[in-house]
Amino acid sequence: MRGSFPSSTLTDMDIEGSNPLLPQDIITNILIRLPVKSLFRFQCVCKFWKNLFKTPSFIAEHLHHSSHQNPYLLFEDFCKSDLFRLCLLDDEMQILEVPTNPLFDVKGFCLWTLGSCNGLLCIGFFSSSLSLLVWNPATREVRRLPRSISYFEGKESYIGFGFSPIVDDYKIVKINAQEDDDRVNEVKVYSLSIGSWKDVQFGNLDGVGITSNGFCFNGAIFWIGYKIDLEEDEDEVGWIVSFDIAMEVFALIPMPSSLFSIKNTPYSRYLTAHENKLALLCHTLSGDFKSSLIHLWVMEEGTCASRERWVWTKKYISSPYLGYLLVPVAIWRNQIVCIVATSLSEPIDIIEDDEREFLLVNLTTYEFKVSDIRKSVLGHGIFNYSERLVPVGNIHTE
Amino acid sequence: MSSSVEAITVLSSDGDEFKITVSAAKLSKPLNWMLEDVCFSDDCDEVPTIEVNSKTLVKVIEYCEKHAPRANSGASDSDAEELKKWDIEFMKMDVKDILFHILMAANYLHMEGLYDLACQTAADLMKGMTVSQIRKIFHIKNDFSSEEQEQLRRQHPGCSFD
Repeated sequence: MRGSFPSSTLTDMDIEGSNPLLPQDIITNILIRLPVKSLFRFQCVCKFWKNLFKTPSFIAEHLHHSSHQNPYLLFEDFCKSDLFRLCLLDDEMQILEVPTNPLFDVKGFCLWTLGSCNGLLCIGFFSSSLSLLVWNPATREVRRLPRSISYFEGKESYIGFGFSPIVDDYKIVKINAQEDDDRVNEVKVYSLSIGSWKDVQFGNLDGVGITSNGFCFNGAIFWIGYKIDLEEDEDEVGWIVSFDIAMEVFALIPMPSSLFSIKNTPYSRYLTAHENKLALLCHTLSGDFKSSLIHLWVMEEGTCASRERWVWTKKYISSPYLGYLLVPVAIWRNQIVCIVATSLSEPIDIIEDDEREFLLVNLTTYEFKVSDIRKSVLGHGIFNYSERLVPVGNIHTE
Repeated sequence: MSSSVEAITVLSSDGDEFKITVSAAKLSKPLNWMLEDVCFSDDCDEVPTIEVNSKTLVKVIEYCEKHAPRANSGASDSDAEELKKWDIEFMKMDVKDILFHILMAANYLHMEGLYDLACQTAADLMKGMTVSQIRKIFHIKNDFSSEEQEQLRRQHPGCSFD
């Protein structure tokens, strides 16, 4: 099923004007409960409302009020055209299209989602080199970041995008690495409130390669990393690179060591959040090499990047699922979102058509649920997303 | 205050008498204070007036009586689920035409649960309304000049002032 943004019906509320005049604080209390797209429409009601929706206190109250609402699952839709389109999956597994922005409709440019935080998306935009946009799809505001002036521009870049309540600022971290051996040779950080790039020290990233874009959680950004120069007798241990957004310092967190053994090399590690903790998703092959086992680990403490002690707890290992290789990529509404990557054995009826591209594993009942989503390219750009009023800066789309 | 009293009598702003059980009245801070301050026993002739009209007060009392057992004793999760369903039905019934009165009453009587419920109901109803319907229910005048409207339309194609 495909629809526009959720449609609502006209109501039979008394609109004939016999309502009492409500005091403004009651009206404000109602308005903070409205979704952003309604507020966006209602800025045309009167000047007072239009200005009210932009006040920091209203934005903060709205953010606070919507923080416990269920997020959407955001993903890129490669089906409709070769243009950049995003879709949302709601509570009822309905797909909603995200209204696009004219800026994105230039053919030949490659766009993709790099991060999602408090209703803001960080979008990568590749023409001759990488440009970055911060976009609030709900308020339709978009801000194009200036290029960072860099000798290393155009090499491999790993992006992180996140928010720190301590400094009340959104930052974009760009880790530039050497193309040939993954060594980090530059880190640039852009502050949304200051509006400029600066260099940040990264001495402790020496010898560590990065393989993912960043995941923002709890005032820090986390990347999947690995040690580049392994000694001969040294076992492979994965590393998570963390960046404290407020302090602007990096730290290295070892992955759970029991994940790594000769027989049991984990594939495709993804960072996500579970029960308000940083979580690591990966999969290993089952004994018969026909299916994958999904692993979920959570970091029990020290989610702030400057801590030294890291304790991982194994939360869940799935049983093999019908001879399919499932790649877990995120947790959304207490379910592990898994992409059906490759069939390792004979095709099985229930996933034989193109319609089913991903599965959800319920983390309460441990049941697998095949989604009815028709074939979309899922694999990157899967995020939790909630509509928020958070401004991207002062530049509006014209 | 006499602890033997089980129900109190109050007057609505229209002058009608209403009975409300003591445990239900405890959901409202002002009513609770009245319970402590005023003598509600039979030999007391003063009946306090609640500045809420009869039509609204009926619904407010209905809400209080339903929520009182849980508020006073605490209840299981299944009760909470049931109560949530009841709230939804309560707001669906014939409440819509007096929703703003309920909001004012809940605000005046410091009833947090009913206030949140009514705010959310109002927000849900507003989602489907046009800008001019919103102005009507809140008694708001469109104070944008035609130039300002033009500018907003340029900024956000598709935005409507009607």
